[in-house]
Amino acid sequence: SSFQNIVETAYGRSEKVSPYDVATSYNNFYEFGYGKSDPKEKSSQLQTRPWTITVEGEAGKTGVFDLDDIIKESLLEERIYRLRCVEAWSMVIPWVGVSLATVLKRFDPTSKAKYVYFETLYDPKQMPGQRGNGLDWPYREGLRIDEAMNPLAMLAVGMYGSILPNQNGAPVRLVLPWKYGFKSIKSIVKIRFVETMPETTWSLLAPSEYGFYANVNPNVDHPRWSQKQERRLPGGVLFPNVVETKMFNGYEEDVASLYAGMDLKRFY
Amino acid sequence: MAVFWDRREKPYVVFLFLMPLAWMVSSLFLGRYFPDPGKALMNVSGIWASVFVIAVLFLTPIAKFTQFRMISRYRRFVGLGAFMYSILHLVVYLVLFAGLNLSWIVSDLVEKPYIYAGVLAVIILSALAITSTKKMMRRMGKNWKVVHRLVYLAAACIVAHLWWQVKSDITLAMWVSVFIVPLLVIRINQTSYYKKYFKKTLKKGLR
Repeated sequence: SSFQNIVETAYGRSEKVSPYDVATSYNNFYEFGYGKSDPKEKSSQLQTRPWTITVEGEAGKTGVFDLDDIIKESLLEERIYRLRCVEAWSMVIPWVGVSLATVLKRFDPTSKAKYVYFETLYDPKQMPGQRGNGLDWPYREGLRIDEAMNPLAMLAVGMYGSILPNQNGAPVRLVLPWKYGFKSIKSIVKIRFVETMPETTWSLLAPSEYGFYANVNPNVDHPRWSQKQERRLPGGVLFPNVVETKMFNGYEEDVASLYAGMDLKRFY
Repeated sequence: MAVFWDRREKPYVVFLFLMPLAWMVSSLFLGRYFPDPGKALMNVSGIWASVFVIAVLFLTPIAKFTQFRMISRYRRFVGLGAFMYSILHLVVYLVLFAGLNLSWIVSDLVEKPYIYAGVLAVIILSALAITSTKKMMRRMGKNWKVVHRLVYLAAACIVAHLWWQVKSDITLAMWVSVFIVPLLVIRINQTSYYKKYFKKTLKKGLR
Protein backbone atom coordinates (compact mmCIF):
# COMPACT_ATOMS: atom_id res chain seq x y z
CA SER A 1 0.00 0.00 0.00
CA SER A 2 2.93 2.36 -0.32
CA PHE A 3 3.06 4.67 -3.32
CA GLN A 4 5.71 4.47 -6.02
CA ASN A 5 7.34 7.50 -7.66
CA ILE A 6 6.01 10.20 -5.36
CA VAL A 7 7.24 13.60 -6.52
CA GLU A 8 9.22 15.27 -3.76
CA THR A 9 8.55 18.94 -3.14
CA ALA A 10 10.35 21.66 -1.20
CA TYR A 11 7.55 22.01 1.36
CA GLY A 12 8.77 21.49 4.91
CA ARG A 13 12.09 19.84 4.05
CA SER A 14 13.71 21.33 7.15
CA GLU A 15 10.91 20.29 9.55
CA LYS A 16 11.25 17.53 12.10
CA VAL A 17 8.48 15.10 11.15
CA SER A 18 6.30 13.66 13.94
CA PRO A 19 6.63 9.90 14.45
CA TYR A 20 4.19 7.80 12.40
CA ASP A 21 2.88 6.19 15.59
CA VAL A 22 1.89 9.53 17.05
CA ALA A 23 0.22 10.79 13.88
CA THR A 24 -1.84 7.60 13.57
CA SER A 25 -2.83 7.07 17.21
CA TYR A 26 -3.70 10.58 18.42
CA ASN A 27 -6.54 11.88 16.28
CA ASN A 28 -9.64 14.02 16.41
CA PHE A 29 -12.15 12.24 14.17
CA TYR A 30 -15.47 12.32 16.04
CA GLU A 31 -17.05 10.00 13.46
CA PHE A 32 -15.26 7.27 15.42
CA GLY A 33 -15.61 8.68 18.94
CA TYR A 34 -14.53 11.57 21.14
CA GLY A 35 -11.34 10.04 22.51
CA LYS A 36 -7.99 10.66 20.83
CA SER A 37 -7.41 6.90 20.54
CA ASP A 38 -10.96 6.09 19.32
CA PRO A 39 -10.29 6.74 15.62
CA LYS A 40 -7.49 4.17 15.53
CA GLU A 41 -9.41 1.63 17.58
CA LYS A 42 -12.83 2.00 15.96
CA SER A 43 -12.23 2.77 12.30
CA SER A 44 -11.48 -0.72 10.97
CA GLN A 45 -15.00 -1.10 9.51
CA LEU A 46 -14.56 1.84 7.16
CA GLN A 47 -14.63 0.64 3.52
CA THR A 48 -12.45 2.94 1.45
CA ARG A 49 -12.71 1.15 -1.92
CA PRO A 50 -14.59 1.62 -4.14
CA TRP A 51 -14.97 5.30 -3.21
CA THR A 52 -16.92 7.86 -5.16
CA ILE A 53 -17.23 11.61 -4.81
CA THR A 54 -20.38 13.43 -5.87
CA VAL A 55 -19.66 16.78 -7.52
CA GLU A 56 -22.57 19.23 -7.62
CA GLY A 57 -23.50 22.84 -8.05
CA GLU A 58 -22.00 25.70 -10.05
CA ALA A 59 -19.64 23.73 -12.28
CA GLY A 60 -19.48 22.54 -15.87
CA LYS A 61 -18.76 18.93 -15.02
CA THR A 62 -20.89 17.49 -12.26
CA GLY A 63 -21.80 13.91 -11.40
CA VAL A 64 -20.44 10.95 -9.47
CA PHE A 65 -16.75 10.27 -9.94
CA ASP A 66 -14.57 7.41 -8.80
CA LEU A 67 -11.74 8.59 -6.56
CA ASP A 68 -9.17 6.78 -8.71
CA ASP A 69 -10.34 8.79 -11.72
CA ILE A 70 -10.12 12.09 -9.85
CA ILE A 71 -6.62 11.62 -8.45
CA LYS A 72 -4.10 9.89 -10.67
CA GLU A 73 -1.42 8.03 -8.79
CA SER A 74 1.25 9.20 -11.21
CA LEU A 75 0.76 12.83 -10.17
CA LEU A 76 1.12 12.37 -6.42
CA GLU A 77 3.54 14.58 -4.56
CA GLU A 78 4.80 14.69 -0.98
CA ARG A 79 4.50 17.83 1.10
CA ILE A 80 5.58 18.13 4.72
CA TYR A 81 3.14 20.45 6.49
CA ARG A 82 2.69 21.65 10.05
CA LEU A 83 -0.72 20.74 11.44
CA ARG A 84 -2.09 23.04 14.16
CA CYS A 85 -5.15 21.85 16.06
CA VAL A 86 -7.53 24.45 17.52
CA GLU A 87 -6.95 22.67 20.87
CA ALA A 88 -3.40 24.10 20.89
CA TRP A 89 -1.38 21.04 19.96
CA SER A 90 0.47 20.46 16.72
CA MET A 91 2.34 17.90 14.64
CA VAL A 92 4.36 17.80 11.42
CA ILE A 93 3.04 15.39 8.79
CA PRO A 94 4.41 14.30 5.42
CA TRP A 95 1.26 14.19 3.27
CA VAL A 96 0.88 12.52 -0.12
CA GLY A 97 -1.60 14.04 -2.55
CA VAL A 98 -2.16 16.73 -5.13
CA SER A 99 -2.94 20.40 -5.17
CA LEU A 100 -6.66 20.91 -4.49
CA ALA A 101 -6.80 23.50 -7.28
CA THR A 102 -5.76 21.06 -10.01
CA VAL A 103 -8.62 18.74 -9.04
CA LEU A 104 -11.26 21.45 -8.67
CA LYS A 105 -10.37 23.09 -12.00
CA ARG A 106 -11.13 19.87 -13.83
CA PHE A 107 -14.81 20.25 -12.84
CA ASP A 108 -14.95 23.67 -14.57
CA PRO A 109 -16.42 25.81 -11.77
CA THR A 110 -18.52 28.65 -13.18
CA SER A 111 -18.28 32.34 -12.26
CA LYS A 112 -21.05 31.74 -9.72
CA ALA A 113 -18.85 29.34 -7.75
CA LYS A 114 -17.79 31.70 -4.97
CA TYR A 115 -17.37 28.97 -2.36
CA VAL A 116 -16.69 25.23 -2.26
CA TYR A 117 -18.54 22.98 0.16
CA PHE A 118 -17.25 19.57 1.31
CA GLU A 119 -18.99 16.74 3.11
CA THR A 120 -17.77 13.64 4.98
CA LEU A 121 -19.32 10.21 4.56
CA TYR A 122 -22.38 9.65 6.74
CA ASP A 123 -22.78 5.97 7.58
CA PRO A 124 -23.23 5.06 11.27
CA LYS A 125 -22.59 1.39 10.38
CA GLN A 126 -19.04 2.19 9.36
CA MET A 127 -18.59 5.20 11.62
CA PRO A 128 -19.76 4.31 15.15
CA GLY A 129 -19.30 7.84 16.48
CA GLN A 130 -22.15 8.98 14.23
CA ARG A 131 -24.60 6.90 16.28
CA GLY A 132 -24.47 9.64 18.92
CA ASN A 133 -25.37 13.25 18.26
CA GLY A 134 -22.25 14.98 19.51
CA LEU A 135 -22.05 16.74 16.16
CA ASP A 136 -24.72 17.53 13.60
CA TRP A 137 -23.83 14.89 11.00
CA PRO A 138 -22.65 14.73 8.31
CA TYR A 139 -19.49 16.75 8.95
CA ARG A 140 -19.46 19.80 6.71
CA GLU A 141 -16.73 22.18 5.71
CA GLY A 142 -16.22 24.96 3.23
CA LEU A 143 -13.71 27.33 1.67
CA ARG A 144 -13.85 30.53 -0.31
CA ILE A 145 -13.01 29.62 -3.91
CA ASP A 146 -9.75 31.63 -3.85
CA GLU A 147 -8.71 29.81 -0.67
CA ALA A 148 -9.47 26.49 -2.30
CA MET A 149 -7.46 27.46 -5.39
CA ASN A 150 -4.42 28.54 -3.34
CA PRO A 151 -1.50 26.26 -4.25
CA LEU A 152 -0.95 25.42 -0.55
CA ALA A 153 -4.36 23.71 -0.27
CA MET A 154 -3.96 19.99 -0.76
CA LEU A 155 -6.17 17.00 -1.42
CA ALA A 156 -4.37 14.12 0.31
CA VAL A 157 -4.73 10.39 -0.23
CA GLY A 158 -1.69 9.34 1.76
CA MET A 159 0.86 10.14 4.44
CA TYR A 160 4.37 8.87 5.27
CA GLY A 161 4.59 7.45 1.72
CA SER A 162 1.57 5.16 2.04
CA ILE A 163 -2.20 5.39 1.69
CA LEU A 164 -4.05 7.23 4.46
CA PRO A 165 -4.89 5.06 7.48
CA ASN A 166 -8.64 5.08 8.16
CA GLN A 167 -8.16 7.11 11.34
CA ASN A 168 -6.45 9.89 9.38
CA GLY A 169 -9.33 10.48 6.97
CA ALA A 170 -9.02 7.71 4.37
CA PRO A 171 -9.33 7.56 1.50
CA VAL A 172 -9.25 11.28 0.70
CA ARG A 173 -9.11 14.45 2.81
CA LEU A 174 -8.25 18.11 2.68
CA VAL A 175 -5.01 19.47 4.14
CA LEU A 176 -5.06 23.22 4.78
CA PRO A 177 -1.93 23.90 6.85
CA TRP A 178 -2.68 27.58 7.51
CA LYS A 179 -6.02 26.78 9.12
CA TYR A 180 -6.93 24.94 12.33
CA GLY A 181 -7.11 21.19 11.83
CA PHE A 182 -10.89 20.91 11.88
CA LYS A 183 -11.06 22.69 8.50
CA SER A 184 -9.16 19.81 6.89
CA ILE A 185 -12.23 17.63 6.38
CA LYS A 186 -11.74 13.86 6.17
CA SER A 187 -13.25 10.99 4.16
CA ILE A 188 -14.82 13.33 1.60
CA VAL A 189 -17.84 12.10 -0.40
CA LYS A 190 -19.26 15.36 -1.71
CA ILE A 191 -17.95 18.53 -3.29
CA ARG A 192 -20.42 21.30 -4.12
CA PHE A 193 -19.65 24.62 -5.80
CA VAL A 194 -21.92 27.29 -4.32
CA GLU A 195 -22.59 31.02 -4.54
CA THR A 196 -23.09 31.77 -0.83
CA MET A 197 -20.98 30.93 2.21
CA PRO A 198 -21.82 27.36 3.26
CA GLU A 199 -22.62 26.34 6.84
CA THR A 200 -19.81 24.44 8.51
CA THR A 201 -20.05 21.90 11.33
CA TRP A 202 -18.06 23.54 14.13
CA SER A 203 -19.32 27.05 13.53
CA LEU A 204 -22.87 25.66 13.61
CA LEU A 205 -22.16 24.06 16.98
CA ALA A 206 -20.46 27.05 18.61
CA PRO A 207 -20.46 30.11 16.31
CA SER A 208 -18.71 32.33 18.87
CA GLU A 209 -15.81 29.86 19.19
CA TYR A 210 -15.24 28.51 15.69
CA GLY A 211 -15.55 30.72 12.65
CA PHE A 212 -15.80 29.95 8.95
CA TYR A 213 -12.22 31.01 8.26
CA ALA A 214 -10.49 29.42 11.27
CA ASN A 215 -7.08 30.67 10.20
CA VAL A 216 -4.30 29.91 12.65
CA ASN A 217 -3.81 33.23 14.41
CA PRO A 218 -1.88 33.77 17.66
CA ASN A 219 -3.45 37.22 18.01
CA VAL A 220 -7.01 35.94 18.18
CA ASP A 221 -7.56 33.66 21.14
CA HIS A 222 -10.26 31.06 21.37
CA PRO A 223 -12.81 32.56 23.81
CA ARG A 224 -11.85 29.92 26.36
CA TRP A 225 -8.14 29.42 25.82
CA SER A 226 -5.01 31.05 24.46
CA GLN A 227 -3.83 30.41 20.90
CA LYS A 228 -0.45 32.11 21.35
CA GLN A 229 1.43 28.86 21.96
CA GLU A 230 1.06 25.22 21.05
CA ARG A 231 2.36 21.90 22.30
CA ARG A 232 4.30 20.21 19.48
CA LEU A 233 3.70 16.49 19.83
CA PRO A 234 5.08 14.22 21.03
CA GLY A 235 5.91 15.97 24.29
CA GLY A 236 8.43 14.87 26.90
CA VAL A 237 7.31 12.84 29.91
CA LEU A 238 7.36 15.75 32.35
CA PHE A 239 7.66 18.73 30.07
CA PRO A 240 5.78 19.56 26.88
CA ASN A 241 7.38 20.90 23.76
CA VAL A 242 5.92 24.41 23.77
CA VAL A 243 6.27 26.32 20.50
CA GLU A 244 5.17 29.89 19.72
CA THR A 245 2.24 29.76 17.29
CA LYS A 246 2.91 31.68 14.08
CA MET A 247 0.50 33.77 12.02
CA PHE A 248 -1.21 31.51 9.47
CA ASN A 249 0.80 28.69 11.09
CA GLY A 250 3.93 30.12 9.45
CA TYR A 251 2.48 30.14 5.91
CA GLU A 252 1.99 33.90 5.84
CA GLU A 253 3.92 34.32 2.57
CA ASP A 254 1.65 31.88 0.77
CA VAL A 255 -1.77 32.93 2.04
CA ALA A 256 -1.71 36.41 3.66
CA SER A 257 -2.81 38.05 0.39
CA LEU A 258 -6.09 36.11 0.52
CA TYR A 259 -7.11 38.12 3.57
CA ALA A 260 -5.72 41.56 2.69
CA GLY A 261 -7.84 44.29 4.27
CA MET A 262 -9.93 41.84 6.28
CA ASP A 263 -10.44 42.26 10.01
CA LEU A 264 -9.27 38.85 11.18
CA LYS A 265 -10.56 39.46 14.70
CA ARG A 266 -14.04 39.68 13.24
CA PHE A 267 -13.61 37.01 10.59
CA TYR A 268 -11.94 34.42 12.81
CA MET B 1 -12.51 5.78 69.41
CA ALA B 2 -10.65 8.68 67.88
CA VAL B 3 -7.37 7.46 69.27
CA PHE B 4 -8.06 4.03 67.86
CA TRP B 5 -8.66 5.43 64.37
CA ASP B 6 -5.56 7.59 64.44
CA ARG B 7 -3.28 4.74 65.29
CA ARG B 8 -4.58 1.70 63.50
CA GLU B 9 -6.52 2.81 60.46
CA LYS B 10 -4.63 5.86 59.30
CA PRO B 11 -1.80 4.08 57.45
CA TYR B 12 -4.31 1.98 55.48
CA VAL B 13 -6.42 4.99 54.58
CA VAL B 14 -3.35 6.94 53.52
CA PHE B 15 -2.30 3.99 51.38
CA LEU B 16 -5.76 3.88 49.78
CA PHE B 17 -5.70 7.61 49.10
CA LEU B 18 -2.30 7.42 47.45
CA MET B 19 -3.25 4.60 45.08
CA PRO B 20 -4.68 6.88 42.36
CA LEU B 21 -1.51 8.94 42.55
CA ALA B 22 0.64 5.82 42.23
CA TRP B 23 -1.44 4.76 39.22
CA MET B 24 -1.00 8.17 37.59
CA VAL B 25 2.75 8.31 38.14
CA SER B 26 3.32 4.77 36.86
CA SER B 27 1.05 5.40 33.85
CA LEU B 28 2.98 8.55 33.08
CA PHE B 29 6.34 6.80 33.09
CA LEU B 30 5.00 3.74 31.28
CA GLY B 31 3.90 6.03 28.46
CA ARG B 32 0.16 5.49 28.77
CA TYR B 33 -0.41 9.24 28.43
CA PHE B 34 1.81 9.52 25.35
CA PRO B 35 2.02 11.66 23.19
CA ASP B 36 0.36 14.54 25.12
CA PRO B 37 0.82 13.56 28.78
CA GLY B 38 -0.12 17.00 30.11
CA LYS B 39 -3.59 16.85 28.64
CA ALA B 40 -4.29 13.25 29.70
CA LEU B 41 -2.94 13.64 33.23
CA MET B 42 -4.83 16.89 33.67
CA ASN B 43 -8.06 15.01 32.98
CA VAL B 44 -7.24 12.10 35.28
CA SER B 45 -6.06 14.25 38.21
CA GLY B 46 -9.12 16.49 37.85
CA ILE B 47 -11.40 13.46 37.92
CA TRP B 48 -9.77 12.21 41.14
CA ALA B 49 -10.05 15.62 42.81
CA SER B 50 -13.78 15.53 41.94
CA VAL B 51 -14.12 11.97 43.26
CA PHE B 52 -12.69 13.02 46.63
CA VAL B 53 -14.95 16.08 46.83
CA ILE B 54 -17.95 13.90 45.99
CA ALA B 55 -16.85 11.38 48.64
CA VAL B 56 -16.57 14.04 51.32
CA LEU B 57 -20.03 15.37 50.45
CA PHE B 58 -21.47 11.87 50.70
CA LEU B 59 -20.02 11.15 54.15
CA THR B 60 -22.43 13.47 55.99
CA PRO B 61 -25.70 12.04 54.59
CA ILE B 62 -24.38 8.48 54.90
CA ALA B 63 -23.47 9.07 58.55
CA LYS B 64 -26.84 10.71 59.15
CA PHE B 65 -29.09 8.17 57.53
CA THR B 66 -27.29 4.87 58.09
CA GLN B 67 -25.63 3.00 60.90
CA PHE B 68 -22.16 3.90 59.71
CA ARG B 69 -22.08 6.99 61.89
CA MET B 70 -18.39 6.57 62.55
CA ILE B 71 -17.44 7.37 58.96
CA SER B 72 -17.97 11.09 59.54
CA ARG B 73 -14.64 10.88 61.34
CA TYR B 74 -13.02 10.58 57.92
CA ARG B 75 -14.40 13.85 56.59
CA ARG B 76 -11.36 16.00 57.23
CA PHE B 77 -9.12 13.28 55.92
CA VAL B 78 -11.04 12.76 52.68
CA GLY B 79 -11.09 16.54 52.33
CA LEU B 80 -7.30 16.55 52.49
CA GLY B 81 -7.32 13.99 49.69
CA ALA B 82 -9.47 16.34 47.58
CA PHE B 83 -7.03 19.16 48.36
CA MET B 84 -4.05 17.04 47.37
CA TYR B 85 -5.51 15.97 44.01
CA SER B 86 -6.71 19.50 43.21
CA ILE B 87 -3.18 20.79 43.77
CA LEU B 88 -1.84 17.97 41.60
CA HIS B 89 -4.34 19.00 38.92
CA LEU B 90 -3.10 22.59 39.08
CA VAL B 91 0.57 21.57 39.02
CA VAL B 92 -0.03 19.28 36.03
CA TYR B 93 -1.65 22.20 34.21
CA LEU B 94 1.24 24.57 35.04
CA VAL B 95 4.12 22.17 34.30
CA LEU B 96 3.05 19.29 32.06
CA PHE B 97 0.36 21.11 30.09
CA ALA B 98 1.61 24.69 29.77
CA GLY B 99 5.32 23.91 30.22
CA LEU B 100 5.61 26.76 32.77
CA ASN B 101 5.29 29.10 29.78
CA LEU B 102 4.40 32.35 31.53
CA SER B 103 2.65 33.95 28.58
CA TRP B 104 0.44 30.86 28.17
CA ILE B 105 -0.42 30.64 31.86
CA VAL B 106 -1.12 34.34 32.25
CA SER B 107 -3.40 34.41 29.23
CA ASP B 108 -5.24 31.27 30.40
CA LEU B 109 -5.57 32.18 34.07
CA VAL B 110 -5.90 35.95 33.91
CA GLU B 111 -7.67 36.62 30.63
CA LYS B 112 -9.97 33.61 30.33
CA PRO B 113 -12.70 33.56 32.97
CA TYR B 114 -13.50 30.01 31.99
CA ILE B 115 -11.05 28.48 34.41
CA TYR B 116 -11.82 30.86 37.28
CA ALA B 117 -14.29 28.36 38.70
CA GLY B 118 -11.52 25.75 38.89
CA VAL B 119 -9.10 28.22 40.45
CA LEU B 120 -11.71 29.20 43.03
CA ALA B 121 -12.26 25.55 43.92
CA VAL B 122 -8.51 25.08 44.48
CA ILE B 123 -8.39 28.22 46.66
CA ILE B 124 -11.32 27.01 48.77
CA LEU B 125 -9.91 23.51 49.18
CA SER B 126 -6.53 25.00 50.17
CA ALA B 127 -8.14 27.27 52.77
CA LEU B 128 -10.06 24.33 54.18
CA ALA B 129 -6.93 22.17 54.24
CA ILE B 130 -4.98 24.85 56.13
CA THR B 131 -7.77 25.17 58.72
CA SER B 132 -8.29 21.42 59.01
CA THR B 133 -6.02 20.84 62.00
CA LYS B 134 -7.37 20.16 65.47
CA LYS B 135 -5.68 23.32 66.66
CA MET B 136 -7.53 25.41 64.09
CA MET B 137 -10.80 23.65 64.93
CA ARG B 138 -10.37 24.66 68.54
CA ARG B 139 -9.36 28.22 67.70
CA MET B 140 -12.24 28.78 65.26
CA GLY B 141 -14.86 27.17 67.46
CA LYS B 142 -18.32 27.24 65.96
CA ASN B 143 -17.15 29.25 62.96
CA TRP B 144 -15.14 26.27 61.83
CA LYS B 145 -18.22 24.38 60.74
CA VAL B 146 -19.62 27.39 58.92
CA VAL B 147 -16.36 28.05 57.08
CA HIS B 148 -16.00 24.40 56.15
CA ARG B 149 -19.40 24.42 54.51
CA LEU B 150 -17.52 26.21 51.71
CA VAL B 151 -16.81 22.73 50.43
CA TYR B 152 -20.29 22.90 48.87
CA LEU B 153 -19.25 26.02 46.97
CA ALA B 154 -16.11 24.21 45.83
CA ALA B 155 -18.30 21.36 44.57
CA ALA B 156 -20.51 23.82 42.67
CA CYS B 157 -17.32 25.31 41.18
CA ILE B 158 -16.28 21.87 39.93
CA VAL B 159 -19.62 21.45 38.16
CA ALA B 160 -19.29 24.88 36.52
CA HIS B 161 -15.63 24.20 35.64
CA LEU B 162 -16.59 20.97 33.87
CA TRP B 163 -19.54 22.36 31.91
CA TRP B 164 -17.42 25.30 30.74
CA GLN B 165 -14.82 22.85 29.38
CA VAL B 166 -17.30 21.05 27.14
CA LYS B 167 -16.39 21.09 23.47
CA SER B 168 -18.98 18.57 22.36
CA ASP B 169 -18.62 15.54 24.65
CA ILE B 170 -20.70 16.04 27.82
CA THR B 171 -20.10 12.60 29.40
CA LEU B 172 -17.73 13.67 32.19
CA ALA B 173 -19.59 16.87 33.09
CA MET B 174 -22.79 14.83 33.21
CA TRP B 175 -21.41 12.13 35.51
CA VAL B 176 -19.87 14.52 38.00
CA SER B 177 -23.07 16.61 38.05
CA VAL B 178 -25.17 13.51 38.69
CA PHE B 179 -23.28 13.04 41.96
CA ILE B 180 -22.81 16.64 43.06
CA VAL B 181 -26.04 18.41 42.09
CA PRO B 182 -28.45 16.27 44.21
CA LEU B 183 -26.21 16.73 47.25
CA LEU B 184 -26.19 20.49 46.70
CA VAL B 185 -29.96 20.51 46.35
CA ILE B 186 -30.32 18.63 49.64
CA ARG B 187 -28.06 21.21 51.27
CA ILE B 188 -29.98 24.16 49.89
CA ASN B 189 -33.19 22.57 51.23
CA GLN B 190 -31.66 22.81 54.66
CA THR B 191 -30.83 26.48 54.25
CA SER B 192 -33.52 27.71 56.61
CA TYR B 193 -31.75 25.82 59.36
CA TYR B 194 -28.44 27.06 58.04
CA LYS B 195 -29.54 30.72 58.06
CA LYS B 196 -30.72 30.52 61.63
CA TYR B 197 -27.46 28.96 62.70
CA PHE B 198 -25.44 31.55 60.82
CA LYS B 199 -27.35 34.48 62.35
CA LYS B 200 -26.88 33.09 65.82
CA THR B 201 -23.13 32.73 65.46
CA LEU B 202 -22.90 36.13 63.81
CA LYS B 203 -24.71 37.78 66.70
CA LYS B 204 -22.44 36.04 69.15
CA GLY B 205 -19.44 37.23 67.15
CA LEU B 206 -20.68 40.83 67.26
CA ARG B 207 -21.18 40.72 70.99
